[in-house]
Amino acid sequence: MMTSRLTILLVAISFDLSKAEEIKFNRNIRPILSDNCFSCHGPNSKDAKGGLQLHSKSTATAPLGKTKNRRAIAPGNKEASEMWTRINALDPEDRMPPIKSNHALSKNQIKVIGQWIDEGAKYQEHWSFQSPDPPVGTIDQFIRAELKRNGLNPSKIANKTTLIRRLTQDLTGLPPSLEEIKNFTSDTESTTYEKEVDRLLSTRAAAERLTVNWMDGARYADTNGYSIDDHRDMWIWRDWVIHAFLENMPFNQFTLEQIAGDLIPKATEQQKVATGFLRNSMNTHEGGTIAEEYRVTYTADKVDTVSTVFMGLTMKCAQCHDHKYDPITQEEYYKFFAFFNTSSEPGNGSTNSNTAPIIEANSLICSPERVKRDAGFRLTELENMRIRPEPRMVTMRDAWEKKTLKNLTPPKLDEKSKNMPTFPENTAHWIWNALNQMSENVEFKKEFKLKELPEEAQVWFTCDNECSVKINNTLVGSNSDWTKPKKIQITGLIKGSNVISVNAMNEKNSPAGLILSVAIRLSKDKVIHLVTDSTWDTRETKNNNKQDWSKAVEIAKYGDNPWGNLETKKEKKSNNSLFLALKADAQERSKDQWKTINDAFATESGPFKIYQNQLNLEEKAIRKSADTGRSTVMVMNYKPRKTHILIRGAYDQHGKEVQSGGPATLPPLNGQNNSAKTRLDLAKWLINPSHPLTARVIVNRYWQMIFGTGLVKTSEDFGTQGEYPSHPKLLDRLANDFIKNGWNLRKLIKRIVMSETYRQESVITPKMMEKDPYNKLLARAPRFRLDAEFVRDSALAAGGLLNREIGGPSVYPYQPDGLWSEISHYGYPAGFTSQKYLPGTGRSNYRRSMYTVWKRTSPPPTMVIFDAPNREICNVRRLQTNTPLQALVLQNDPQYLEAARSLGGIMASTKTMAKGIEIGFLRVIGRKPNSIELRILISSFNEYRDSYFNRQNDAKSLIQIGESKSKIKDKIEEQAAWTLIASTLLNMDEFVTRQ
Amino acid sequence: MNQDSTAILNRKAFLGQSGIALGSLAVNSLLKNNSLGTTNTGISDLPHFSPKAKRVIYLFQSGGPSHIDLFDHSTKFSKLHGTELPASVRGGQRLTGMTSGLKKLVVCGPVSPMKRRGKCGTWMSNMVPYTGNIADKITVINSMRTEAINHDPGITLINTGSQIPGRPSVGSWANYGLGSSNANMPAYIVLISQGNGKNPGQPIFSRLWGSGFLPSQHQGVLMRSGKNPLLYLNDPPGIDRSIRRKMLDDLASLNKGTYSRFSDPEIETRIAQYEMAFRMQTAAPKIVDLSDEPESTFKLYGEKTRTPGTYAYNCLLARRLAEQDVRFIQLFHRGWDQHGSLIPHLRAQCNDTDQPSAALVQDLDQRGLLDDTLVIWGGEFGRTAYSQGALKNGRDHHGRCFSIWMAGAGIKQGHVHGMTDDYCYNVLKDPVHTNDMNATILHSLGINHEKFTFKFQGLNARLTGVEKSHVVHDILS
Repeated sequence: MMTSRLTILLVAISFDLSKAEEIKFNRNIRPILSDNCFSCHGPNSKDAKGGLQLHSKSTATAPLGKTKNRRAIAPGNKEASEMWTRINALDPEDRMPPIKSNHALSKNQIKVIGQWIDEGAKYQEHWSFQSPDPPVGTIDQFIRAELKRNGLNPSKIANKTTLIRRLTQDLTGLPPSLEEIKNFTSDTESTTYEKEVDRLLSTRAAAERLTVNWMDGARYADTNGYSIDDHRDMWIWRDWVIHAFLENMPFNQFTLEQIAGDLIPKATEQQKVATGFLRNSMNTHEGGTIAEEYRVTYTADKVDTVSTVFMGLTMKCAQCHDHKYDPITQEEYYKFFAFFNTSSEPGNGSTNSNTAPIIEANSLICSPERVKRDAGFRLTELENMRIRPEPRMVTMRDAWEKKTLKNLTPPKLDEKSKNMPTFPENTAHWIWNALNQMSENVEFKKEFKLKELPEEAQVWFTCDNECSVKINNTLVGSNSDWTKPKKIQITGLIKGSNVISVNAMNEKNSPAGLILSVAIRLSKDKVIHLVTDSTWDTRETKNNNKQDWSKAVEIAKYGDNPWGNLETKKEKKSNNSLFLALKADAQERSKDQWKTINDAFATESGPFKIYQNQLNLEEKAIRKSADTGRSTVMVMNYKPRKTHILIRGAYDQHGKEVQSGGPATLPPLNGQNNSAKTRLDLAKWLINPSHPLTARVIVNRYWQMIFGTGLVKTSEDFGTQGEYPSHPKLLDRLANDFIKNGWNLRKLIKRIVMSETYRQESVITPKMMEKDPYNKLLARAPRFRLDAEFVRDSALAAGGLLNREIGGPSVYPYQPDGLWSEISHYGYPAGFTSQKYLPGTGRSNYRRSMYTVWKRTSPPPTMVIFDAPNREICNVRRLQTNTPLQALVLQNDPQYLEAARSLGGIMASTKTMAKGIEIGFLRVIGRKPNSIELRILISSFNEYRDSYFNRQNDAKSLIQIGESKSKIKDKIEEQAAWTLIASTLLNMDEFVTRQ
Repeated sequence: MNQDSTAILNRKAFLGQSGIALGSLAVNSLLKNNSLGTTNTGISDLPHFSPKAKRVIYLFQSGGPSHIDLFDHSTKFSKLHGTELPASVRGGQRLTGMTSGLKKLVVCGPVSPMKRRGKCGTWMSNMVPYTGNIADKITVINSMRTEAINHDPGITLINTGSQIPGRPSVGSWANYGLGSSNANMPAYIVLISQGNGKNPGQPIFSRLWGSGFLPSQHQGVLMRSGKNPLLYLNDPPGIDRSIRRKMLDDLASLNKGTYSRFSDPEIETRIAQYEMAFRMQTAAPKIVDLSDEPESTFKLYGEKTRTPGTYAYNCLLARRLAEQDVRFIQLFHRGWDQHGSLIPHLRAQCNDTDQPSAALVQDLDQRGLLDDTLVIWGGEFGRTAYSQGALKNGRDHHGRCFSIWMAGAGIKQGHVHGMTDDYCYNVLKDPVHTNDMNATILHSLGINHEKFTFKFQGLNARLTGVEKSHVVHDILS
């Protein structure tokens, strides 16, 4: 089959990869010079000590010294080369590199330099800045040629059980299901593997997996990052990314839209959404911030992100001075900076919301109905948190209830009508006419439907400066003293459609604004509210010229200056409603009764007031999404602005003005018609096939995703300080074909995973350890731990708990108490969103980890413990660690224990114990247990069961962890024992490892 | 040094010490593709020289304590109270958006009297009487400076060497370089408390103890009050120690089976990490169990020490962690941002911190731990000589000078370093940049801050920044 065909091909390889290597500047010399010499003798001419620059042949061979009689390098003659003399000098005064530089050359490095000079000191342009020109060949040909040269052989192809698990994990971040394993291993067709690759690549799970990979580089988060670190809404952008991968959008288009979607002629809403990529920068609204300083910081972050993600270049160094290692001058940095400097994004970010420019949009993968459902569900959760706050507060409230009830006198029965609940003033907004905010004559209206005839209704309102209120065109009241809101009983509401309208007026050229709130009591004491907000319609009625209706704008919420908290004419406060509410059994209280109690409690309990305030803010932040099923998202726009070199990178030290443009080392970046070059030109330049970096960098990162390590190990740095590729020709071959294939990502990934190199076993032999301990040459498949998200996802999947819904607002699964509030501004009177973690319930606990809300100053602990970055800045390579804290998470995090409990239930439902353990093994590590493993676990199961038989309470506690309900059966000691066996499996090395 | 070869050496060192029996294959090259090594024994060429400090306790005062009201004394200052700050003193300094709009900057003298303390005669406010009692043990630096004028950049700069997020914290550098000297606890532990002054204080961020581009195992681990002192430490209800032990034994057998098939040294490391986790489950609760402390301890640190989560409680934990040889212990105490309510809030912050901070130094001293423990007390910047709002109402941020104190391991006793002008506004003598302070901390740990680098994005990145930083030799004995 495939193997034999390849063998024949290998024999017939025409290009010569196995010859002994000559000394090459890029491979052998540049790394030595870059590490040890360039900081003083590199491309930065200002810093060049003694006028010597070693980065190019012309400068390195130029005459030196006063008499110009010396040369650092005399090609072909090391003895005549000053450099050779100095790197061999014994006198510390003469020795290079100087001792105090903390650099030193090894004997071998010195020898290599000598040989290179003798061979003519041939320079090469840095490899990654040259266009790829690779020979033809398959992945396996390139890999095997290197193996052969190093005296290694490829490993044999892994068995099908291993392959299906590896493939599914790599492509989807999830383990294969039992059916998938069975279908794959039992199918003997030679095309099974390829079919499986195609199938997996087109799944939603694969799109999600690729998105997780993209989110680190794009520094995606749900909070603003600096200082207060309140929330933002960028999930519409995240969903755009998932959708793009789901559609296999060509990668050049994927790049173009994220960098310049807004500038594409006739840009669609979603093309604008794509530019959220750039807006993922952190922002701040810390008091006292100098806005321009931070605006520059946000812009620099965009430069850093784009140059790292698409070009594998670190331009950051050139922000303050010419780059010491790579050919990027400070001027070139600011030319690049200029592309991103032209947007209206302000330095001072918005509070508790997205910062302009923003647009409102739909998710491409999560329907408005589902967004409404999810946001609505979250609102219910938040509402329930008022009724059932954390235990500490429940205790406080219980005590207060008892005390209060004792001091209240029972009400008279006929006072029901006075028991209207308080008005939700906190949610009402001052609203204005949108088209002419300065208008003094404005009409406001709102239509609403009632499903039944109300028993009673009241309106609370005031207007700057006076107004009259009509219900269904009948005047119900007016108010001419705006400082005293009125509260009046209203009649005339009907079942079905109703209209409330207000005519407002003010002094000439003073804006007429309105704030109003209606409370309507329906049957069974159900109370609903209607408040002024931006869903109201307004029109100007000045001089009887009526405008068309348009939506009102929210100017301020109730209580904000300049109006402040207006005194409502004090009604005689009746404590009847409070009495009745307190008297009611806690389990049977209505929502309104709880509100009455909580409002009263909040006036006396500081902590509860803070808590209520937090809930109010969180509710407010999502109410709109709950209504519309849409969300705002931050995007890029174009606003002309001059860019100057910033001297030493300081925001207020302007040097000369520069125009946008690319670095001279790279191909020319052309604009359209001589006008200033824009982000669109930049994006087109990046995806131009002649750009030497983009395709290489992208291809390398997907190689890294699949093999754990890139062909260029430093996937974030393709500059001169980065590592030289392990297989430069293979990298170039893949990059060229990627472009030729229309930047088809699925095709690229398919090519990689179809290779025999990919399909090898991952067993390590002594010979491999000796010759290639890091497995750079890939004589075997790598074995490495799953990324943080996939460890958790896999546990949920194994336990049958995983909720496979895709996209939508972020969720709040289990997290230890207090992690946010102990570091945040929780409790600050004005209040900010995302200051206290308010855990979700139900199925939101089991979504894929990529949907867990990401607060940058306190990221999800189990993600960070498993090496996820904090998403403050761009990161394209996670470093892996193996720590005791990871062991503790897998053993004790309720999320994993619940998964174990649930998996235990699945295992228990089989006919025999051995069968149960087999199912567990298949679900957790994708294979059947061997006889030793089976023996260990059966013996332990019996031991656990016997032990718990005598400790029923312990067994009960163990099987009640987590929210998903477990049925308590007769033999709970067996349930407990199964939970422990499942937990053991979820702690196995093989569970967290792809192999 | 190359990170991969570091990993090899670490592995070898670790195996040499731990005595875990592995096949010769694994011992010869304990490496894994893509892994940075997971045992924590530091870098092989560290320390660069014999260290004075084996460990650090960093009492970080978040928000910007007022140097003017606590440590930095100017004889003329009180006479200047109520006068306008001369433009020549301000010298075009940028102000935060909170006071840049003020028409007049009116000087406000110390809100509480200062006097000379100890034999050395170091000036201190009477708001910090206990610190006064240890005046002869510490060095006060009055010439600290930072470029930052707001909290986020300021606190990020002093803790990570850069105002822009993304860099490793000073504690994670120490952890990366020197590794752990305790086999049962993480090497870098963070404790947080909220002060009774400004409440809530300015937010703090996990990046302040984060590992930046260093492997995540070097980040600070939060130690918390309550029953679960480390995240996920406790076995769930229903699992006792014997069951856990049984499970870990099974796990080791199963993992050894996997090792026998794959020969991947990472598997052996994982087995070892589970064992350390098991030991941690015993060690961490012992540290927070104060029942073995005599009454005299609570007398020394103050009554608040009995309340978990307070600064005083955390100071005592710091001593207990130091006794267990935890490398880097960092407290964050919030609430020092006195824009308003200067007098009551400053007093409250001092009440929180003065006695326990001094007690910690005395306690370490009497236990013989002060000789090799470096103690640092200080925040991200100081506060303005002029008032924000009415006179004595509050003070804005001030980065041009501020005060910290240091004690222990090789730090001069009864010493004052640096001098500011009559307005405590500009440094006149011996400026110490925050990066100089960090260079000095590393120096105390036996590390040359210029040689201690990690290759990141093509640069040999270091804690102390691109600009030249200096060890403050004048404060070293």
